[in-house]
Amino acid sequence: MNINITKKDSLSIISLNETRLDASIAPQFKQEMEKIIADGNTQIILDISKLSFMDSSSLGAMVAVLKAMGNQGKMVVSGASGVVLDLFKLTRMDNVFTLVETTEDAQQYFTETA
Amino acid sequence: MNNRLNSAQEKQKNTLEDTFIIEKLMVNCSITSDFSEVRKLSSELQYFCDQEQLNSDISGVLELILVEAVNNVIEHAYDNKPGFPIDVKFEAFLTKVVICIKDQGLAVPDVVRNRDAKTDMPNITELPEGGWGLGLIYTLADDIEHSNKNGFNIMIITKKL
Repeated sequence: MNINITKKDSLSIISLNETRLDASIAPQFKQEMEKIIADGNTQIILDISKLSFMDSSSLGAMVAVLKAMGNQGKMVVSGASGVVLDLFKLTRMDNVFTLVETTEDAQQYFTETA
Repeated sequence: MNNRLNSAQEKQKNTLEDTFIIEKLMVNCSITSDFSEVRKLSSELQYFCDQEQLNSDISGVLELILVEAVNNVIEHAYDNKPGFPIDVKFEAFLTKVVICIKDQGLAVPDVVRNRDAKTDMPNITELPEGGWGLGLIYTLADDIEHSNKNGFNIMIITKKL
């Protein structure tokens, strides 16, 4: 799994450098994200703009990550488009996750809600 | 009156197409019940969509339907056990794509088959980590048929173009 972390002040920008997130790698994604949170990254921008496909098992892994954050932090998801964005909307999980178009929008979100 | 006429014409067109089965392309592929194998089906579907010059919106929807349906076979029909056969066929017609998925696992229970899966999505306030698969398939597809013959479960999914 190709995940890149960039720190910017208190923000951790996590770029998922994969084009597909599916049941074959969803457990690994969940495990790596939970480790990132356990390492103290509590203000997270998850950039999924490179994803062209994601299935519902991967969405479940994202929900598990969101739960792992609990009340100790915040995660904003940036760059969902096409069928990936459709998946969030069809399952109504666009009401659960904070979705923005770009990482810059996500940074703006954190600035405004600080 | 015009609406009724158009509806009748549309029905006649569909009937004619069904009668003469104007099939444009058919692709068969087989995998075993491993999640890593499902990507092979996605690749075959992409080839199929490219050949049919389907746009990315419809090919994305077809891929989501396919992956959710095959994931369900692996999880439920084969109880997450690897190595069992799954056969898939993609067929393109003038106005629709048909995906046929065949497995030899546990049959889909009637209670699942008969429920209103389209509206039976998990409650988001409970932050579900799964359970969307069937609801997504029923929401995105135009027609779904389940059958069980000679120990084979067959799911036929139709998506209109």
